[in-house]
Amino acid sequence: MGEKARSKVLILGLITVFVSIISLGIGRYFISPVGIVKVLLQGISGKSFGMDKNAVAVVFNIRLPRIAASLLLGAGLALSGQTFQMIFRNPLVSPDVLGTSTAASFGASLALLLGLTSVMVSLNAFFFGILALVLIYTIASRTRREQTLSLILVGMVVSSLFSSATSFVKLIADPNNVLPAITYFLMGSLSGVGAKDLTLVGAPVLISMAVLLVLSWKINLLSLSEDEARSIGVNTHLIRAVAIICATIITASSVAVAGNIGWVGLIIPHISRMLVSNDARYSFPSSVFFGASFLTLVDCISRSAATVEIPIGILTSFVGAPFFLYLLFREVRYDS
Amino acid sequence: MILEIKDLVFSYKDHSVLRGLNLRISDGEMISLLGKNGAGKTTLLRLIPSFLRCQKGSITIDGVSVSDMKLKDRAKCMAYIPQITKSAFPYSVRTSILMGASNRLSMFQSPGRQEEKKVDQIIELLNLQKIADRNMDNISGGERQLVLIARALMQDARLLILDEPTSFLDYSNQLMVLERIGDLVKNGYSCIYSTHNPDLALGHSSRVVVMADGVISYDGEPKSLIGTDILSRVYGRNIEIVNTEKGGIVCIPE
Repeated sequence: MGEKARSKVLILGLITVFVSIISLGIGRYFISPVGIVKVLLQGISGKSFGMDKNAVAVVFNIRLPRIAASLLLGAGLALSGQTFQMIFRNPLVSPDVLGTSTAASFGASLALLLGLTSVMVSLNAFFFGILALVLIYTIASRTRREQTLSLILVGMVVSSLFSSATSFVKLIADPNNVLPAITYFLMGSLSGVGAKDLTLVGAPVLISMAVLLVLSWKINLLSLSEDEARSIGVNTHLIRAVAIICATIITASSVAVAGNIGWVGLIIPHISRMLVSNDARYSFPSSVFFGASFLTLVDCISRSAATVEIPIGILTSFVGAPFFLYLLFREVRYDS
Repeated sequence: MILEIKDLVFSYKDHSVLRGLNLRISDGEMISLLGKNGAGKTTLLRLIPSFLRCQKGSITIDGVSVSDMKLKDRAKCMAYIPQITKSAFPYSVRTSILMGASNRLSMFQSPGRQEEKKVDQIIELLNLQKIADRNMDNISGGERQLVLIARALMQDARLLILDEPTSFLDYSNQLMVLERIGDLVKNGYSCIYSTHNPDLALGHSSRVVVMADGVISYDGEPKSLIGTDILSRVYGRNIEIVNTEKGGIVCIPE
């Protein structure tokens, strides 16, 4: 079982590398996969591998930051979704279960309304995403219900408050320039993500992902009942808190630089569990690779399928839904 | 290892459940807990590992208060095995048993080869080889109960606390699960389990403990119940407890 799952994770890792190389070559300036490898070697080593300087510039200055962002955010969102699903013992949960994306969206909308710089938009979005979590934890800890249930209930309330607040910001925004900017940002897109954004969110997302991956075995235990987990000797409150903080940092960072990218955090965890294992030691790394490949592939379509860029938030479900349905039917046939 | 419960008092808000309960469990004892619905059996079983906090009284293991023990240390002494529940993300039998090793791992540690080896030994001990690589969703209720017991052994817990381990199981699985627990008890483990089936309690325990009105109304060997009206008083109808020709003890309701 373990060996099989480990090989599947390895294959997914190789697929991610393959998808990244292909995506780096796709665009108006097409470069073959072999060409991409040469460009990368030329760019990194400084020696000539016979590639055009323009090709190196296109790959390193334009495509690489964007693909790095899609890999990072795809991996992060999938892992964040997987974590929330296990913590709340519910496969229907997405990274927005505690209202992080909604609150971060409000932060971004408010910053756009006030005409702040793009860095401030990101920082404001991140701040509100984390603020929502602090609010939820503070309120939930004062209720007498079971912790996971009260977190979900308070999360719903806080989420709907921020959702209304965003609607209010849209209502008072200038319909000629600010409102379209807010609407486009909220749709989710990687078009504006550059190296600057990556340096802003790279460290928090990577550190949070590393913590979640290291915690994966203990997160398995959170999906048992509270009594079972405590009987095994696990401090569920501490692990749950650390996991929620990490998953929230990832979600808030993602909204901060790329707006709302739905579907990845909900469906990729399912696919990785279906194809690899329910055991988080394997489903976590497979979600990371699956999420990274999926978002990179979808972003590739988003920037090259039409003359105008299609927001990625729209495309993720168009591409993901048929694939998920295929897997679902395949599983039903297998069971029967 | 001796578990000592003294003058235990517990109530849910205004509803008093336990009113000064005393109980002692030693190594090698298999205790069955009987009582009507709402008698406080589950409450008692959840109080022992400190899932609930009592209002008065004490629960100690070899003189050390259980509520003062670290979660990890408590898990090495006792394991609570709930009624069979379905997990949202069912794991393989092997992974489920491996989870019992978590009390010996630090927060960021995952189980390694040594733990995997121990899983193999426990699988052999409980004769679970045939189902070891199957998913928890694809095994019978009795087998699932055995996997949870295997997980408890993985913890190194000596006291097994089981809340209605035989509910939802067919008759042969009920017997099988209790027989396996009996084998473990012979090897020095101790066990307390609740049940609604007095026949099983009489046939598979070294002591029968009967709860009524928040206290223990009977605590003794199964054979001492023969000819008494203790179960009749607890369940509110005439129940005759008799010896069979082969040496067993059975209940015959009127």
